[in-house]
Amino acid sequence: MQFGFLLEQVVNGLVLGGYYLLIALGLSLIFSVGGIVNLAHGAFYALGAYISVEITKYLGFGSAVVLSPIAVALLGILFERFILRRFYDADPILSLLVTFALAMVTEQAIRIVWGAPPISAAIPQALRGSVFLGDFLFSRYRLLILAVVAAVLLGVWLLLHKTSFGRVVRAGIQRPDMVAALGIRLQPYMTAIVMLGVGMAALGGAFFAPITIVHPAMGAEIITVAFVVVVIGGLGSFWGVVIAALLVGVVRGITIHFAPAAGEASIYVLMFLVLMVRPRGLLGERIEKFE
Amino acid sequence: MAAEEINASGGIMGKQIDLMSEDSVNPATASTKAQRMIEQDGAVLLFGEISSASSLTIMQVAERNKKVFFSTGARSDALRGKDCNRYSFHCDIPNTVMVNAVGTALKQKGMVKGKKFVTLTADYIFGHDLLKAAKAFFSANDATLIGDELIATDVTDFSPYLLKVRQAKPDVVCCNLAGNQVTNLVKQYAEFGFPYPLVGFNLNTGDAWAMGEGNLSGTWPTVWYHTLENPASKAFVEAFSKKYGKPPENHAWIEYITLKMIAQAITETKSTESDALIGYFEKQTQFDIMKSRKAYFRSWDHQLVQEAYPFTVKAKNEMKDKWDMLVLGEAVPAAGAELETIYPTKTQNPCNMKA
Amino acid sequence: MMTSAAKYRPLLLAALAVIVLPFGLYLLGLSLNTGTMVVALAIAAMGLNLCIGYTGLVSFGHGAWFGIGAYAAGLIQRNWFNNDIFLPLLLAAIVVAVISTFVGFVILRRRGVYFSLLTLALSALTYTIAFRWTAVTGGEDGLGGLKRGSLGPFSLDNALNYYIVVAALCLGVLYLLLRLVRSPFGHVLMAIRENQLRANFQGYPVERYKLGVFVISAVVTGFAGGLIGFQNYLVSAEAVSVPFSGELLAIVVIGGMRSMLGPAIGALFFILFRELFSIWTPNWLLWFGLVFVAFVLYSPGGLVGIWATLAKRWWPPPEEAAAMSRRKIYQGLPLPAFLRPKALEGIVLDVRGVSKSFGGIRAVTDASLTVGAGEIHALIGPNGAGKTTLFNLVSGLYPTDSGTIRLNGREIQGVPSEAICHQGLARSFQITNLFKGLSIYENLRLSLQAQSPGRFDLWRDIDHYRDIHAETAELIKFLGLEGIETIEGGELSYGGQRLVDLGIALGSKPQVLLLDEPLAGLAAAERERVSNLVKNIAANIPVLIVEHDIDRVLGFSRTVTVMNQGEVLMTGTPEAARADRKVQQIYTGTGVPEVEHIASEQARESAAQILRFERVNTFYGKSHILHDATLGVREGEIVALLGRNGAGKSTLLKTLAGLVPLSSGTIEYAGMDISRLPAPEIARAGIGYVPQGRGLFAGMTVRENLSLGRLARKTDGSNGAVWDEAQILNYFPRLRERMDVAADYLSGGEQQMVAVARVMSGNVKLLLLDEPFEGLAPAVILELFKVFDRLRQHISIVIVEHNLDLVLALADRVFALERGAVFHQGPAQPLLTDLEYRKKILWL
Repeated sequence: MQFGFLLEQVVNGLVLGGYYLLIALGLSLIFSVGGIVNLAHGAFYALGAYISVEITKYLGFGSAVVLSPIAVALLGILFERFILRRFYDADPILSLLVTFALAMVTEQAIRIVWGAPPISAAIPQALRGSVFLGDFLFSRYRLLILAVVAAVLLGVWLLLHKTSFGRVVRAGIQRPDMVAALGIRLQPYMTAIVMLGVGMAALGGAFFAPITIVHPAMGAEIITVAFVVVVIGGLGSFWGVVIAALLVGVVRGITIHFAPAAGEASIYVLMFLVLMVRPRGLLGERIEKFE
Repeated sequence: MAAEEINASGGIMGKQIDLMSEDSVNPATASTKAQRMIEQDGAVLLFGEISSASSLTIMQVAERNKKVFFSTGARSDALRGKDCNRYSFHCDIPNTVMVNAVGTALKQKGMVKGKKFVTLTADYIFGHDLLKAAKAFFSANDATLIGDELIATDVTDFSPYLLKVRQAKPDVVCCNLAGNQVTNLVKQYAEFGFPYPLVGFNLNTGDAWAMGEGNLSGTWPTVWYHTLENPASKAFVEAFSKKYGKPPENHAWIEYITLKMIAQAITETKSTESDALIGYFEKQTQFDIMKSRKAYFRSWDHQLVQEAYPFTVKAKNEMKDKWDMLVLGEAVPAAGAELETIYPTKTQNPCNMKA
Repeated sequence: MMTSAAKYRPLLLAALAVIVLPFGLYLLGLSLNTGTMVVALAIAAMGLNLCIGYTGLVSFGHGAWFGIGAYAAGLIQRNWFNNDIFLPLLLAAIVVAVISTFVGFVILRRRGVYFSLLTLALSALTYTIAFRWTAVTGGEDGLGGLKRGSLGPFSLDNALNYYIVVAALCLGVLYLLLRLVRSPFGHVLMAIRENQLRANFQGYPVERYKLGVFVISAVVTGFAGGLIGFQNYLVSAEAVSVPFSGELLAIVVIGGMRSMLGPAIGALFFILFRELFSIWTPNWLLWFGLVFVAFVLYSPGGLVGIWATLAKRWWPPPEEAAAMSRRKIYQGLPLPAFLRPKALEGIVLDVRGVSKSFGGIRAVTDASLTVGAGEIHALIGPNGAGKTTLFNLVSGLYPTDSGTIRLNGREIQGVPSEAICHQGLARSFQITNLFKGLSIYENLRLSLQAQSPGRFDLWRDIDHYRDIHAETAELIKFLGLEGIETIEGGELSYGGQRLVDLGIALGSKPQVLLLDEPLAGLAAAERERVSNLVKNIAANIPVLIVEHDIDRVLGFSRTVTVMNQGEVLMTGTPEAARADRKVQQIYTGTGVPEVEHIASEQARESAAQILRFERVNTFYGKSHILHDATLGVREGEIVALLGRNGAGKSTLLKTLAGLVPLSSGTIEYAGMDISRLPAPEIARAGIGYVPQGRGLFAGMTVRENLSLGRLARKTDGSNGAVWDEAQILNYFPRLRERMDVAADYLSGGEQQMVAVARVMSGNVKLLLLDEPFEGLAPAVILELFKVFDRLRQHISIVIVEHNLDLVLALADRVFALERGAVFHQGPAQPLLTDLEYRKKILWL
């Protein structure tokens, strides 16, 4: 009984971890390729949620989770073109400041467009209810999310490791000069990575809109945790982020079970503990410009 | 809207009223802004506020500055009890009343006596207070509380708590949350689809609408609903709907009647002085607040004593429009009983006002 | 030295401001409470700016200290000191100090972005604690019911009284901060901001300074938090939240972080913006955010920076272009007395059997050398010989793997750099490493200050230490920098920076001085002067010097140690070194080709020119690398670039490939001007580049590496030669089994083959090779040699290689570079066979 119940909490933690992962993975990618610490990432997550709520009204949930990330990815093009591009070679602190300010602006813009009170979306009827497996019970919708996250993760991994796109991106992280010397312009790849990153954040927003409230500050709420995940995993490491996201989700879930008030704090305590032992995170490498 | 009506009919004592508003966001800002409105903008009295925490700080500002404050949406008993002060008046029904309203309805359905309850409570003054009222109700009615989760007000994901609720296997789950969190809990509760009925001791009609179809179930309290059958109320709903394209929710109503009461007080006392106004209200003047019985401010704790209602959710096919989702129960207290019977007594919630 | 009026001008301005502020606000229709808010926020922002502006620690989480200060003051008042605010404020400051010491200890271990993210997390953590720990903090309700109490007969509930108290406290804090930044401690903070590594090598234990400033900054911000808590009679969790931390940061950035009062101006701006904008739009934060974005993008100096720019436009300062020419040079000054160590005798520095590997690569193996009193000891050797690594080991930058290093008999391996400095070892750096944003005077004064017992002083003004100033002036005179002391280090020409770099090392009053290429990048006259300076110094302080101007360094040193491939080849007198055959071989080769000379002798004068590289100048920052470099390459020709280390060969190749921008000159390739094209365009036009170290992509297989070579360039042979996979395997058969192995697991020779194959996977008409034979076994060298030799049938090659026997055998023509300019060009043949001619042209 107790064990089955703990399993429920662990699976629940994994869902939460998957949710962090969708945000943190894009954050980490943009960070690795462009050297940009994108504090505006949460804003794209929020936009993803808002846009999906709007689309759901007219076209239904299925279209919303597809179209909303695409719309946000298109916004990402503008973001990369007019903001990020100026900061690839600059002190990362500057990009930190500018994206922070941008997050503030976006949050306010959302307030103006959609109003300060939260709006909400409903889970489609077909996806409601729970799945029983003996004593194990779980929300069907959340299991769906877990599957989607796994699929996205697999997709990103394949993209990075099995396609020429991924080869260029990985090569660009190591030796941008050599990539250029082979005649490859990195710029379009940067744009694509930013699109992918913010698109994933929007996907997270779209899937979580129905089970949580959609409100202007939702981006600010998630961004700190997403960064904690990236820092725990190690800046620039794919598997580091994956492991860290799931770890954070599970640790938080279990802490809430035993000491609800310490749920949020557990994430940060975990981070400080990891950094005491491994200063660059679980799988992080030394990257001179961020030291 | 009330301000427009009053100004349109010549204002109060020939003067137009000038309504200023600010978003309070959180207790610290609420306090700063209230202070600023009084000092900088020369406000003669303040009214509004939904959050009990922010209300508390505004009450302190009011007392320091000796200006009258009407709290229109805060429901914590403590505001009327140990935190009460001479300059603050409370228009919304307090927690005890909400618990009693829902409780009465539940008792009628036989869902209280000998049943096991789990509560999910907001971790701040309002939630604690509501929990206290609920506990009092349970012990008075032979119900057992087998689980009690305190939930911080910034939690948006309730799934870990819901899994704990399931483990407890209660007969009834009770929601003592406020604001967005109610909406959120109800949505996630529907997502997991537990068999235990969910009831709540606090819900604003605006939040109920925000939940979307098919999420809400159970029995909840309200102070007023736009389908209330009485002429004044219907006229108000009609005028409001015409202007804003949707029916008023309970906050719109309460602010409307509060402003009307204030206008009446100022007109009759011919003064905006705090002492005169307090004196006027402390006489327990009766006001028509669009309910079948008139209401008045109790002199010893400044609570607006009025009827309350429990409600349940309409089946989807019975709704006329997306706002028509609730079925109002019988007004509490039942006709004939004294209004004050559902309110906390002086001994239950003592208030010592400094002169 | 500044007059005290100038020193405390900010205080005067601030005093004026807090008097005028209430009237100004009144005119705008704002209340006195707003004024109190401005002043208290100004304190918080000035506290934060100690970290950001002065020390370069960008904290995203100072809201945590603000809130902790506020909660602590509130709780202390509620529990122990009802109706008093001063004791609670004081005790809260102590609480903040204690907590920030512990926290700083953990998060100051990280720098840069990591530090910022950790502070962000700190703020988030504090917020959840404040929000959740209802029993202590009141949680969502906040901690209410605070009292302002009274001061004597004056009740602080009165807005004016409270304003006066806060304003007075603000001025007090400002006074303390001014003292702090004018103290030796404060000056070290700026040094840390500009260059933490150098400050460390100057003998400052930077971690202690950083912790110190972090705690002080936290206390000041926390103190402001307490004041605002009492102002509101309430503390709520929003005070510790991330958004509030961000607002504080915005205040500092918008106000201007390079000045003491900038953040205060930012606070005023923030509050006015909020109050005035919120009247006509509830979305004032949107506009504030946009203003913030605009400041970061266009004026990182904030409002103060805008003012400075405007002031400069209106009252332009006198032209100071010819900075170096304004200085006064005194020839032949003796080393100032205070720099002369007491009677050194015998061996001062004794390095014995030192080894160091980096990730399996042995950088230094079993190296030993000794430096005796009164000598100049030269350390020479080709690139990659391990000279700089040895310097880094001796000066404590890296720990050694094995071996001992003794300074005056005391072992110093494993001792932190700043302690080594205090034991009497100072060094200069190969790449100039100074405090670019600080004046020359300050650069040098910091070195001398580090040797003073007052270096930790937080209170005394630096002008109090007259001896340090006197010494600095003398050092400046000795170095020949008098007259330009106030110029910022970064504004100086490269040569000037080298001199300051040397001065910083000398200012540490060392007993042995390590100089890493002090002459690099200097003009001829300046070389002469600096070598005299070094000789002058060496009369009292023994010098260990790495230098590529071998003629000169052998001219003035007493002992020479030659290193090659991480090992010490020989130690002896300069004459012995010149005569040593092994040394000669390193520098000029044997004169006997290692491989059979295959190059066809056919004259290619008739062949068309494919590349014209004319009067090209290239800079790295301030250092002028290519100096009107001019060369040409004909079709089907192999051209070798020769020259000493640092002559600019690699830079020339990178400039050609478009990886380094040129500042002037033309590069004409196949009839078009490519000098301003981006690197990918140049690559697509048919210029292939194989860098030193091969530049393979680690973690990717050989096949993946090769596929990236094909991805963006044409593979049809229309402009140049191209290899398909069959040809690659024909040239390098042994890559067949290696196709699916990760490139970083290959041997050096195989890696070089992959690098060449990768570049040849797209059309190449001109191939640039940087040290293609470096570190390879003879058999592999031969294999590659033959491939390059065959390639000349189809394409032209420019090759940089330090193995002269090889490269001269391969090349048709040579261009020899010295200090970025071509000083010799001609056919390769005579240099290959006539060793005497080779020595004459190239070395010794």
